[in-house]
Amino acid sequence: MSVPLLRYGDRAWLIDGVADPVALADQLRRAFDPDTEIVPGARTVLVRSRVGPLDRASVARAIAAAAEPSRPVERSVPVVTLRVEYDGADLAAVAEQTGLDPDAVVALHVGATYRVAFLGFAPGFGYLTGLPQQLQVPRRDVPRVSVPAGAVAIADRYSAVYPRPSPGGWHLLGTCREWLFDAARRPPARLMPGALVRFEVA
Amino acid sequence: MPGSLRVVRSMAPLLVQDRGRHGLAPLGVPGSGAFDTTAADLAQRLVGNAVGQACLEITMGSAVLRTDRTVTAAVAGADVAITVGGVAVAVHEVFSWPAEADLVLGIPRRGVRNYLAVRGGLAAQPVLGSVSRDVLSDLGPASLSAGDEVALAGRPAAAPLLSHAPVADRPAGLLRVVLGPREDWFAADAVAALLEEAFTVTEASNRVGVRLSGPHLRRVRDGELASEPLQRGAIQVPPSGQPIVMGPDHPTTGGYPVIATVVADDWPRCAQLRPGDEVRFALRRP
Repeated sequence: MSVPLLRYGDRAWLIDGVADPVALADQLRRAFDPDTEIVPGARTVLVRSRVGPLDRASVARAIAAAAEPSRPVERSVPVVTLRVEYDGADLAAVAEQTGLDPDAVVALHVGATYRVAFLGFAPGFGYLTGLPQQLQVPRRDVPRVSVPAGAVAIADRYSAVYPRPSPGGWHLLGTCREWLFDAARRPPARLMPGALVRFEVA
Repeated sequence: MPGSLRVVRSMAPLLVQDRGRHGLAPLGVPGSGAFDTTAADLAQRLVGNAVGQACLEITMGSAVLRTDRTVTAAVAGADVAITVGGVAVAVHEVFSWPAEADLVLGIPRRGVRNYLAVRGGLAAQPVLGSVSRDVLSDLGPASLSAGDEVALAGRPAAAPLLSHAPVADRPAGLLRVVLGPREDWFAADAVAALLEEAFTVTEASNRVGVRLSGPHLRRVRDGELASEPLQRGAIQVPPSGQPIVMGPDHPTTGGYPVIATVVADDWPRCAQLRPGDEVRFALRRP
């Protein structure tokens, strides 16, 4: 596999153009010891050393050795089901923007099976792919200063649940009262990379 | 009982810091840890502790602390006036801190952060394997303000070997960088401006990032960058065109292009950049 390998400071490399970053990250982890951290993004994978410089050749070799699957493997992957009260502040606005009834928006959102493409932005914030095409609207023009914990949201091709209050520019469809990030649990994140997720009406 | 250390008063909250949380970025958990690792490690070595243990990160000095028993301690980092029980001690000097004597830090003459290490270490409740306070993610022991205490760990420690460590006085404001990973998102004159012009540290800077004002770094690509993992030291440029250098509590991913990345050896210097300081970037010599 030939993918762009970009220098990222003096201890890391960024692999670009990756179709399934979580799958590639899982494979690359086998090639490195724990002092080298592998972090998936939306279309990228970061490979970084905690201790010193990381030579390009070792990263290139590990990529060559990895056989990236052409589609995510769905066998024996955990499915997380989250119950949602669809009372979000932007439900009506999304309905109007998409030309759908609010009930149809909800039906489309719960009808899909999502996959945790990667986590980022905040602890436990999973970017979920699988959002139906009709619900793919751009982020809000004006982000909110504070989005409540448990807010279930959509933007562009992703859905997500905010684990705790934070600024946020996504459209709020509802609220999920289940835990999403708990530092006392192992693992601390409810939505793990590669897991499948479904929503249901609470 | 090993005892405790308490804050009598401080201008800014004091933060317990160790080496941080590692390996959890795929779950969105930042690395955190002491911002100036060079100073934190030096403070620990001076008192005979292993490096990477818990110490207190003090921001812009102006703090008074007390212990309930006599301990050996050291303060490293910014150039600041220190007294213990009214007696002056120097930064980077090991001293005996008598029980119930005030340890007083003034306002640093230069720099921002100091690290207080106590022989035997501090004890706090780890969160995800670290006692570091992550101010962005709200993880780790709560920050300390007037009246708060942190326990002394009383761990076995080596006898201090040095009484004082001379530390070279280098200006904080020159940071070496490697271009990229997204320098191709920027105009050639933006890259030139980054490497030739001066920037100024703004008041909005903190452990998440050092925010700079200066020439507007102009993009040549429209549209969004899909969220990608961020690296410590990354110089991220939001639509404002004003760069931010990622600090220890930086979010694990971001959607703004990174024009260049500060080299690891210069990350501790970022911890000592004060609002109003001038910063320049230079390409690292390979």
